[in-house]
Amino acid sequence: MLISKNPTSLDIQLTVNSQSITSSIPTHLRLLDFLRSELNLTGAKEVCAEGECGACTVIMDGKIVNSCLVFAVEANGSEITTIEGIGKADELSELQQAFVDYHSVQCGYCIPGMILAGEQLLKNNQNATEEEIKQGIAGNICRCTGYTKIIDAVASLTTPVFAKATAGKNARRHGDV
Amino acid sequence: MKYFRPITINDYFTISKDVGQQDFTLFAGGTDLIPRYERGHKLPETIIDLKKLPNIAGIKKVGDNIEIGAGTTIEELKNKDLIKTHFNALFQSTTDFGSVQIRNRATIGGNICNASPAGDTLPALYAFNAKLILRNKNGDRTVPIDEFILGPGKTAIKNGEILQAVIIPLSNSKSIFYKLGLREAMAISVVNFAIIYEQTLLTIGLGAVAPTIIKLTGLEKYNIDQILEEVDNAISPIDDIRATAHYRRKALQNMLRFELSKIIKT
Repeated sequence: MLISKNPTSLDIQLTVNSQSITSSIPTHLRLLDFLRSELNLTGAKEVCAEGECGACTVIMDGKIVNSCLVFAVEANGSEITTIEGIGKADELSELQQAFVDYHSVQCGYCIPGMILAGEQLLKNNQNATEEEIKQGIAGNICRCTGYTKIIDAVASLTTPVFAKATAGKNARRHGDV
Repeated sequence: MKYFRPITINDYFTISKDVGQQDFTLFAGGTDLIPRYERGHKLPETIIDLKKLPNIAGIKKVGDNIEIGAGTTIEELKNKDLIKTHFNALFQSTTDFGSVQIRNRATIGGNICNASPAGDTLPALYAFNAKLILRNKNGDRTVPIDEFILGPGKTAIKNGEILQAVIIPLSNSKSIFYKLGLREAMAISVVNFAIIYEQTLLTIGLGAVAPTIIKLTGLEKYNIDQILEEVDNAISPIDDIRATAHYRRKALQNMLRFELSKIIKT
């Protein structure tokens, strides 16, 4: 049973990007604040603070969550992966490289969340259709790209048949403009 | 804020007895509660996190019923074939529910206990005659969902009780769920409804047009005008930030007519 003896703070133990961490934290601290302020992992961003925008997305026990909607104490015993645990500047993940190749990034604020949502989608469904990709990133708002190039980047890592079909379709779309 | 996370039901009973009449909140996914605190509502003195209680999550067939643990996430519900096969309207209500991130945290028990008039799983649960198992120190009691939800944010849950599971009688009836939001993803329903239909009769659960879900049953499937009149008499929508009462009334009529016409054709 996890009980705060001191009403306002609690000891937690969790794994963040494969590193075991023990910390004493205020019970009302959100996971997002814990990651950013205590661990200096600033890849997860705060924008809407109510679960609408997805900029604070992290992977918690294998599932993407909005870290602004989780108290850090709830993550006691959990395994967390942030964007910092996905790739390094000189060692990008396949999806991160695809975002570069497809020019999917403009201002970049939504991209950590987009990458994590995309990684989870591809892990669960290698054959995702365009519609399924849209559903998979529906919780992540991008105000720059219009999503097309983000969807293209994710689609490029699904089955070859679909990636080709999407690329062709969007090429036509761009040609019309 | 004191935070408790009981891992046995007896722990829970002990904590809830200690907490007594204090300001406390039962907590599951947190997707409705945490934004509320962000918007300036005071944090409760105590939160009791129910997610680690034994047997609180999971979906199984028990006799002629499906039993859904209150801590089952909306994403788990969405991905379970048993739900899709027997309760299509409930399945459909999970597909437009928030985002993957929200569905991975939000639970069916939380959706019920928040008792929002616009709660997306509620019209289907009402229409399918869902019952709730409430557990307290002295045993269980079973309450039909329409007797459990008393008004916006109000339920019949007692101090020291938890919502353990949702029981739905197995159904082979066809059903649909429709949701009108202000945009496709991540929207709170302006109106939503579930329709269960048989050869000649149907049952409708209507959301976001009254303080609680309105359920109409024994409606004659082929008499659409009469159904729409009964619906219009039964609802009492209000103006709020999402829509006016007038808009809700009108939109409900139009969307119901549209969906009922499709049902009759099939």
